[in-house]
Amino acid sequence: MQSRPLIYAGLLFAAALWCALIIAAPVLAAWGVPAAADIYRFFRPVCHQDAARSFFLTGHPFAVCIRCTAVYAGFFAALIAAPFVPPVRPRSTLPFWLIGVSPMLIDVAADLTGLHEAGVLTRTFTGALFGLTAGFVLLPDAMNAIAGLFTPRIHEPRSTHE
Amino acid sequence: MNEKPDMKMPVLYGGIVIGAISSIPFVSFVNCFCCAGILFGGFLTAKFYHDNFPPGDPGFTSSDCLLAGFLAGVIGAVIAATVSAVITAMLGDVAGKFVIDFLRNSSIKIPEEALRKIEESLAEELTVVKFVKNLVFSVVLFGGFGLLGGLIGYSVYKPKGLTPMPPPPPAASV
Repeated sequence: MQSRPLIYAGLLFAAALWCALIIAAPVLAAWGVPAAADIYRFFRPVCHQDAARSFFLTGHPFAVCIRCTAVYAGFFAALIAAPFVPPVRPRSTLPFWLIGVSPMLIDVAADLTGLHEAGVLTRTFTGALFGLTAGFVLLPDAMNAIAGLFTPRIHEPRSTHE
Repeated sequence: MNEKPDMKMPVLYGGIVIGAISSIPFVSFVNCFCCAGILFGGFLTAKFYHDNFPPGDPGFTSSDCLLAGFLAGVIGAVIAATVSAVITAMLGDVAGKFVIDFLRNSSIKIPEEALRKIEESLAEELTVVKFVKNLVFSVVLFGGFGLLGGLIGYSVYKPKGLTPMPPPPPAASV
């Protein structure tokens, strides 16, 4: 399919833009550019933006917290790496989702219940694992989905009685 | 040739779930976890849509889930922005005040400037311009995360035996 490289490039560009905005917010804030406030506002529904749980750049926090930054960076890394990784064709993706999300959920739950204090390392590692999983699992379906948007929305039944 | 099942109702149900999760004070905190509420709504939309197909029907495609998740996200954004504005107008930003009190009383050390900025942003009055701006941001965000949720739903419920298209090869060098 001729459009596949274009779709892949588009997805890669979107993920890169998303990550760039997260890093651009503190840089623009340091330069006094008013757009920084809009970027922080844009990401507010996505993340608690707790400064105590964020990476800092030029004296200002990233637009999202450490865990979210790791998730998006992991997702972006998966999109970059996907062409170089042999495709896996599992019968079900559920085990992949469970493996990807469980460490993060355990880290959050343990932190909330006081069993252990989530730190920069655990937030980064568990977030990145989830982002990588999401990127690798979703990329083939996302490419098929976008390519399929331009095909007619009717289908042949398995057995025809007409 | 068969027409596919109508996706209006799954999209509407998914949108209502997204809107409810994202607008009810305190419940909306779930979205602080990478928009988990919106992803969940998109996932549910794909599940509801999947339930309208006969088992194993190949007509259930990733494109449908992408579109359904996106539309549910957009509907959810409109519902959330409207309901949030009404709740804020009636009760004030109760969740925001709770967060500020929690941060001030907790042992977490947050720079005073950061707290002040949060308080300032909460104290801003809701104007029509601000509402429209929030709505536009929400439509973009909710639509994006809604379609991701729809794709996650597809990856879980897709007909067994369908193999994903392999990712594109790296650019060939001559």
